[in-house]
Amino acid sequence: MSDASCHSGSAGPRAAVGSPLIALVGAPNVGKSTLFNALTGARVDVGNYPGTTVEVARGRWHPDVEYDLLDLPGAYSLDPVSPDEEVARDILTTGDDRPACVIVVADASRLSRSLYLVVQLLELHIPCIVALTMTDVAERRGLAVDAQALAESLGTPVVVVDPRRRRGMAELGQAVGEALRSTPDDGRAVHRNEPRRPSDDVAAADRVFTKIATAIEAAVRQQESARRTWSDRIDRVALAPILGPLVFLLVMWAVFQATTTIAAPLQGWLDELIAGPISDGVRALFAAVSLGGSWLEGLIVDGLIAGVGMLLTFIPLMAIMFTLLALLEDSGYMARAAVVTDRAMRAIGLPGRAFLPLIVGFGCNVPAIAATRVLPNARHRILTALLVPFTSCTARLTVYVLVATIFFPDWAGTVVFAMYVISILFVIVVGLALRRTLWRTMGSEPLILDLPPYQRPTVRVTSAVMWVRLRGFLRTAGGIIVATVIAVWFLQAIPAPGTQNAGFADVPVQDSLYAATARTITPVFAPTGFGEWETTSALMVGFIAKEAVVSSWAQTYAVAEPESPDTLGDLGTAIRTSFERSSGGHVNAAVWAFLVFLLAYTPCVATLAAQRREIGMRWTWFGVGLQLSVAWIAAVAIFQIGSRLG
Amino acid sequence: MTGCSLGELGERRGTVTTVDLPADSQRRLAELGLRPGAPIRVAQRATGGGVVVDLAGSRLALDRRTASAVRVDIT
Repeated sequence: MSDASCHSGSAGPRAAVGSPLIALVGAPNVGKSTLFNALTGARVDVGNYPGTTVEVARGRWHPDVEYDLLDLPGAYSLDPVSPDEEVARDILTTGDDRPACVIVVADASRLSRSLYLVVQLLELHIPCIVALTMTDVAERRGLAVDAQALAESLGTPVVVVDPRRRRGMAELGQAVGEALRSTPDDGRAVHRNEPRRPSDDVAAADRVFTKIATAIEAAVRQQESARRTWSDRIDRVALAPILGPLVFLLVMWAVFQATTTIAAPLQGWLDELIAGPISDGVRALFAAVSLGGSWLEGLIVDGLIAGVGMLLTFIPLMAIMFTLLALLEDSGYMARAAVVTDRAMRAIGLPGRAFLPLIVGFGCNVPAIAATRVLPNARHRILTALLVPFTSCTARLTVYVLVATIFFPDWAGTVVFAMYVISILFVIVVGLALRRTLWRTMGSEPLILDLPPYQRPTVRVTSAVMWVRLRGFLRTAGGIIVATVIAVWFLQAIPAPGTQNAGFADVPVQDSLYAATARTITPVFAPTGFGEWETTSALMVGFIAKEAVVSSWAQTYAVAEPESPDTLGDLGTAIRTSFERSSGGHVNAAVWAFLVFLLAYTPCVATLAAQRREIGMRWTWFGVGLQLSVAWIAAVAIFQIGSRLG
Repeated sequence: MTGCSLGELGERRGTVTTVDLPADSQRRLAELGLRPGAPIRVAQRATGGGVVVDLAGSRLALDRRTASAVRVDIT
């Protein structure tokens, strides 16, 4: 962790070598990221701090000279409670690449808590500038903050800024320039002695509080007695014992609708566009140069275009998800949702905010994983991102419907409903198991949550945050998705060893290396009752996308994909015969085992790509292992018990 | 002056006297302004038995256990 400059993919914008490093710090919800966006524009690179899953954004800020600007995770003080605060503390106080100057973003309407960090930094002789935000909110609350008096009392510059309207940006640049000029050399040398650790004894804390009290005394004038703000009036409803949860459910319903009902048609439309006109057009081009039907055509159309196409279909979905997240966070409602869900989620040992990603997961796991960043604590984020794949997404629904209609035509609806109940049980049980083993202290932390005043989200902030996150998703997740689709194409194109009369990209599926791989894996599924290579092969495709399971089945059985579940025809018969063979007569037990396996194993490669982005490769692999083991153990248990009972 | 826990304060105003919580929670509350001597008021009861308190104009949500660990003198 010694070098703060190597966090993130380092593909993003970077100030010229030697530009002073400026860090932006502050308590959560004081407008820090808004200020960061206003200062850097779109020239931002968001990534995890090395060795952690804590997000640190970096960008270029060019008021008069160029600065390297670092947006650190929210922190109330230099005494960390969460991994996120630990990262902020480490960057500020240890390491070789400490910032030359620190901008502390302070909320004028809640000044006392914003100043804790300022006083701590000043005690460590770290040069800092206070950027005072939300002066308008403070004024509405009858608080007048005198920036000049505050600066004098603290002994450090104070600049009033309004990042939402881009006011005070130039003044802030000026203040930073002056601060850097007044420190010797490049500014970094001044505190490049041994690492500083804030002392956490009680006397030090008391000293800090005394200084804060003096500064507030000098700078803040309460013009009228505190009256009920409109923020409080909204909270009367949003946090009320019974109405609160109803409001919350309504908001969740809206989020779920937006990520399913609104996004799904767009996704389907893009999918059709790519599989239809675009693929056809490219095929026509190949035919025009007499390469029609060649392996190159297959690689480009069925590998590259299919892979990129799959990535593109996620764009509307992710854009909607990131916009909603930005709105919920920027408006202040997210903090209320955490309060409302705290008690219920605590009962199953999860933090309140985990509710949102888990709900979204029932629509699609990919944006749900991205939504785990609403959790301010990195450990909670990892746990939730590991649990999201157990929420049954709509892609899995298509398979449930098909299988349930084939085997249980009279109560298919009940079977599908049962799958959702099982999905919730998986989340709870796996969550409890992980907490008991990996994070024993989690869930016992008290809820202590600062509620920011509600504010109207701005288009600029919302769209900037959405764009940065969407670009980050495409950059990190794109490669994995495209590469996996192409890899599967190669497996299906290469004839299995010993195959006669079949060339590269000209081999029936059952003779390809892909089928050979499926056959190799199949014995693993013998105890589950669905150990037939055709089923294994469908499950392998399901690793890429659950939507592909049904079409893969149709392909391997060489029958037409049914137009609707009511006219199953040949595919239904083929699948039924296969299950009868593999289960030794205990078809029902094998079908339930299969459904549960399908529910619990790796959802799709896009989910893995999203996980890699949010929680890193190591945790993603851990998650894959976890899902496969849970799925296999559950399937074996169901078949072994079920086949003995009936 | 009589004392009670924050959970029992109701509509009255009070001053924090003691916070009986593990050191890190206690420190976090202090950083947020909830420390002995701070004037406090319950702004409203929240879902799940917690409270939202008013500390010098800012709002802090606490769960029921945390709220009951904060002792206040009614003023």
